[in-house]
Amino acid sequence: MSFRALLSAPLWPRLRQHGARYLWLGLFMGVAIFVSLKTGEHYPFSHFPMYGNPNPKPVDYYFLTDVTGQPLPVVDLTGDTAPKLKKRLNTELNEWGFANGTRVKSEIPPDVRTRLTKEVLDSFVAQSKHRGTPLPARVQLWRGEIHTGPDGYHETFVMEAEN
Amino acid sequence: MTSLIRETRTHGLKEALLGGTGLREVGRLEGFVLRFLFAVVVWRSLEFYPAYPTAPKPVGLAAWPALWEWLGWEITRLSDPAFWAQCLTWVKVALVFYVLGFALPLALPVITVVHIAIRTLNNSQGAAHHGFQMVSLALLTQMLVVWFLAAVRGWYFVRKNGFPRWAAPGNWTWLWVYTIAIAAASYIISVCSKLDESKGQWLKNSPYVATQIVKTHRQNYYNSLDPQFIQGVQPATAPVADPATDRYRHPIPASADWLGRHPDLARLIFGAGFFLELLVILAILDRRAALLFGLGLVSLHGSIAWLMELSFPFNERIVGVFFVNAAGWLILMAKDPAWRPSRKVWLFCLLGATVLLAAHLATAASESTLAHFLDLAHHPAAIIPGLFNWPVAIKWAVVLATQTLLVASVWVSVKSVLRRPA
Repeated sequence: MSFRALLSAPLWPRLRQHGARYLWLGLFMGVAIFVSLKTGEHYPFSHFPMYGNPNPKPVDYYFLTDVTGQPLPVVDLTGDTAPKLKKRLNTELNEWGFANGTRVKSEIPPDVRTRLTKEVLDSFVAQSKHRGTPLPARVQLWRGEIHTGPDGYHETFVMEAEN
Repeated sequence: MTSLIRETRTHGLKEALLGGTGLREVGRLEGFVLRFLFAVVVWRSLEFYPAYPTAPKPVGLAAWPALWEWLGWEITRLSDPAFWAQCLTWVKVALVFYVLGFALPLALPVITVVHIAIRTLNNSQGAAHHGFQMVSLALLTQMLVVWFLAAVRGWYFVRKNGFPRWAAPGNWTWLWVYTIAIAAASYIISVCSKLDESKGQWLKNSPYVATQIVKTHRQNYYNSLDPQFIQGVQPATAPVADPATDRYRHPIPASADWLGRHPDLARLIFGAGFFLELLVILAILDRRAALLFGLGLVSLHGSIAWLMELSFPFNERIVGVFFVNAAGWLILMAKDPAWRPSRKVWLFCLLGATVLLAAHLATAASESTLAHFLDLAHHPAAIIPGLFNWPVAIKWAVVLATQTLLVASVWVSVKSVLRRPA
């Protein structure tokens, strides 16, 4: 049936022909969406929050270097990607914040942040040893921040942890 | 099986296999092709094996300690290579049953549980990965629908009534349309999250995604120090050492620079993706809508991969198998002359596909915008051949044939929409 024919057909026979099918499908999709949004990050469900809140604040990313500052290939040595450095750290910070009544990361005391960052770095070091591709004896975890301004982008760097 | 034999006796094998496929229905042969291709997608997704020995931040099933206590088992046991090899053997057997369409209420749970379990362990490390969710959700959905259908068939069998048409053996419409529905729901969930997290300001603020493009390039570089992500320019050290500002200065990706300088155009580009994700619910309407949105979603993923160096190959493959569904269109055209293009149209489509493919291959090494658009144009046709390790000549021949078929499918779809009612 063409689109025009579909539009010109009487409503009831059209609904009777396909309505039940779309009603069930719509219900199924509605339940799937509701459950996923309510459940959050509980595999296989997710609310897919990636890039959900673009804003002018600086964007950060993390990477590993040796003690001289030479970058290290995160995937090759740990089996996980560089984004996972940030994700794991965020999970730790969020958990601490949730347990201590703050949702703002900047309010987390510096000593707590240093401890949690060090724990994340240690977990990557342990992971690299477990898979037989150990990181160098001394590793640094750096945070890069990308700032957006009227003159374009510029970046700053902070060493967050060292083992 | 008995229904296939009965239909073969009365209609002949060709009719029995092609019958049932229509604009909104999926018959026996199309169902087999869909199951076979999805089985390959599932198997490929299980090749990514993260052997984490612990689950420090349990999510999903891993976060139910009572369940594991009751089972007397640990999800981290999957990190034992010998046990994982055993799991893969079970999955292999179950996938054979799945492809044959036999004992699905038992085969699908095996595949689903193993798939969800291994990715749950992966996501229980404190860093969620969203690349495999759609495969797990599709499996879960198919399992639930199969159980529902088994219950319906059991009910009608006990009452000694014939099965209703929608639940009859050989009608695989449910597998196709509910997989499309759950995939579409995943995109709509993403839209809901965007609106929620940005407090409705996502479209307005979308030009700031450009900063994320810089970030994803940086992260990709630090993954394996591949200089292509920093435009081939090695990290520069400032003459006067100042680690806080200059130590790791890299060039800004051209796409991020351009989008940052053209916020309205950025809004238009990101807005198109936003509305595509929102309206993908319409893909459940029929085969034409699924194709239209399938081509849109594959282009969306291709564009994200181009701009952000961020790809979701398994989402693309599910869209390629179930939404674009080139094999389904071929079966429909073989079965129903009303959906069959004329020889002239086929020739025109073959010519167009050949030109597109030749232009793509000629510009494959280029980084120009034209080359990227040509790459996007052949992308939907390359998804299925990309699942197999075929020799290059066979791969490109199949891509050409698929591209021709897809252009023809778009042609007959548009023609059917514009056709005047009788």
